[in-house]
Amino acid sequence: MTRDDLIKRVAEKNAGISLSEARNLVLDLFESMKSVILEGESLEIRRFGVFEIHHRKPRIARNPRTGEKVSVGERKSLIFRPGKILKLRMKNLTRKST
Amino acid sequence: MKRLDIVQRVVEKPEHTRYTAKFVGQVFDGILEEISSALENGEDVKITGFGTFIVRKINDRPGRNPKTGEPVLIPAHHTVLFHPSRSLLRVSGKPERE
Repeated sequence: MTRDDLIKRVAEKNAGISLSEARNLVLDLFESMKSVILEGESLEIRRFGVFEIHHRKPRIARNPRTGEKVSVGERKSLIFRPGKILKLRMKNLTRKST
Repeated sequence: MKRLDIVQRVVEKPEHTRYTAKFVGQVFDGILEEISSALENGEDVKITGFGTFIVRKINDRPGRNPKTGEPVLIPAHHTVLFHPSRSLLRVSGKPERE
């Protein structure tokens, strides 16, 4: 599923809005999620999951090709942890595929 | 930082004043439901400008009960990975090259 499929589904489900209105709403909702994650460093959505920024310490790594040491500065990474309900729902997929 | 913050930011935008917070909340829940059900059906969800949710099968592997130290088999299951899009990563502080 892509963003455009999602927009179409939202427009179909909400009879009151047109496709272009649905598009604007969906895009702005994702923008809003982005800014909430970046400002708050985390975002918890019940029944879905948690987005969190993890801080990775600076470390000395090696260039795998040359074996040369390189320093990797402090960096942040964004992780998503599925929530309880989403995990439960993924069990349906496990059940189906076995 | 939760669902309400996300919805509030969208409702506050001048082009969305005609929508109630309740309606935008419904649209947001609808989006989460669409994403969850696609994942539950084993389908990856790609949201351009935000990130990709990927369904990943985890094979069974030996583990241990951390309390008793007793070996147990962690059964095969499915989980959701999230790869943030470049635009989301960049603002979340991708490493600056030294």
